Amino acid sequence: GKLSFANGFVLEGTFTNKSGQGLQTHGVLNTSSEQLDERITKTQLGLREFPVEKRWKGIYDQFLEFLQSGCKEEMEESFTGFHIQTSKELRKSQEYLFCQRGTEDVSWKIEDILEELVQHQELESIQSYLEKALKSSLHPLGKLLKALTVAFQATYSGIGANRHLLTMAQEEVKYYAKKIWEFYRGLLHLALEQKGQLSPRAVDGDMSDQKASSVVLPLILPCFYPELFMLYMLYHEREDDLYCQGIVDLSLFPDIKLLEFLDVQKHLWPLKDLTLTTNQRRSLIKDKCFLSATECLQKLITTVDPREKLLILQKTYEELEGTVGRVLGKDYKLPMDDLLPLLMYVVSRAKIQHLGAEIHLIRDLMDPTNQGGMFDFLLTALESCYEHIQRMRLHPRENCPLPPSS
Amino acid sequence: MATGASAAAGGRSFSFKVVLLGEGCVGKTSLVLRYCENKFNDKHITTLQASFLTKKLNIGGKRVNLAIWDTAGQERFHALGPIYYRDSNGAILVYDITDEDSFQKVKNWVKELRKMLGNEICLCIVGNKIDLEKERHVSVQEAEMYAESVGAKHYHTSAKQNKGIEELFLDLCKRMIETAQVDERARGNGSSQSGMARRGVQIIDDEPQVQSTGGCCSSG
Repeated sequence: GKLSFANGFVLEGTFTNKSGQGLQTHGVLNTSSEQLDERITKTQLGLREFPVEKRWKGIYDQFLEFLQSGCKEEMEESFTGFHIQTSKELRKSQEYLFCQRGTEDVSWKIEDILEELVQHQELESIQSYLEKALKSSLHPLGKLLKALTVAFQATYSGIGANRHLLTMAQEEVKYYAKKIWEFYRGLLHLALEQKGQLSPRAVDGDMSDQKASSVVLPLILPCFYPELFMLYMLYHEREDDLYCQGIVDLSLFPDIKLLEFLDVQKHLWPLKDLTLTTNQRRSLIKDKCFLSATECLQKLITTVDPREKLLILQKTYEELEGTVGRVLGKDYKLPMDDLLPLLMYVVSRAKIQHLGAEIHLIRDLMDPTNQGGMFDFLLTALESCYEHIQRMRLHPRENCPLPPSS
Repeated sequence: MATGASAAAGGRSFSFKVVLLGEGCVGKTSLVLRYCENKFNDKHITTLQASFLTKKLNIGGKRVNLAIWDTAGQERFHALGPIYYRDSNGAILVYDITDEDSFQKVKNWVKELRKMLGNEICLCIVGNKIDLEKERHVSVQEAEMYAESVGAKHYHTSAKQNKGIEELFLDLCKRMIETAQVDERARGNGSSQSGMARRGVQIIDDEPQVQSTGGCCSSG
């Protein structure tokens, strides 16, 4: 085996663990820490041997050839056949993709497609155009997406649903977006060229990566979401379990007890929301405080697009702030000292099942320009609640008797 | 850090993340609120009122986007620190000059930050509430000597009287620009390092990396 240390040292040798006396080894310790960073950061399976650029080359190549040949009508036949070549098994599962083949050359000709491409060059119009194109089984981009979807499903479902493959899968989805964007640009380039409208403005593609993640990724993500989210769930299974236990413990607390336990300052408690019937005691009421924020946060699982999830997070914050404003009768700016305990309250009441998987999926797939920004902050705050709830379970006795810290 | 600087068309622009640390009642929030609201009362959409604030600056032709992250000061949340300060370019560590304890907390944060982030992060130690000079419990000399010994800069502020705050942030920005440029040059020299995206099996030994203190921030 090979043991890599964070400082760059590598111990290579035979490791044994006989009769439980710890790890015994006989080997060579390499202390020359050259070219090791790469190896340490990327120890997930398959990443080095099989980088994302090398995967599904067959699928892209066919498309590329089609594009380079000028998207001739007669070439389309060979192009549409491209995914059949990958493997015999795949062919069977894909046959349904070709059921509309008969109508293909009638309804959606490549000339018309190129013509339409030129009409949509503003960002919003590109988005709606791409959405339509990617949904169509007749559009080249739609075909590409289908092929990638099938490949992805075949790889990462069933036996491929293994947490060690998460990074690989996540990278792959991002790469699909990049490739689809590139092919879109290629098609557009071709269309403009054929019309003789090629301007230098249309050629520049240096924003490509960023555009791909902001425009294409949300459109294609639903195709890969079930498998991808499954991998996230598997990857964060242990943390999610701890968190769930914490949530279960906290759910036993009545509202007032929980507010107290989480050190939410008394003047922020929305006691007005605790309406009582005759045989109720206020101290026993549950799930009544900050209800609007809680319900808002629960919508997190109903969305796929990381951006939408982040907007839900923002809305949750706004609901929280709104409630506090109502309680205090004035606008109040929530500093973290106040915000974090309130957020903990909402998170523990929202009881989102696989919160760890959600958080990490959002972080990995959100638009990278969000890094360090407000959405990043909100996500980080949510993550910190998630972490804290996990730890509560670990030391329940230590947490309970802590006096309020202000 | 990796997201520190980006070359934008027509001039340099930097994006910095600054994390705000300190005990509950030391006035860290009023400090940033003062700073961000003082001159222009523009209600920016991308601010969360008091816990996340942004500010745009122009320093010698360099555009700086500052994102200031507040943290909860309660001791029970201390363990959540790393989630907030990861990828920070700077940290503002606030204590109350009338409260010896809060200074001790700052020392703990410094130790932790240096251990976790090394010398890449610019540290500012801030003695707040200098309007309460009479009740001072942390001596100026002690604080400044400590700051120097850990390669941090020390500032005296009063959020109440709006003293020293502008200088603090301006100075911090300059230092972060400097660090980002040094970092960039080092990266340009071939030793490409991508410290991001660590996931998977990784064995980390407990020894903190050996760091020479005081190297990073000899500011201008």
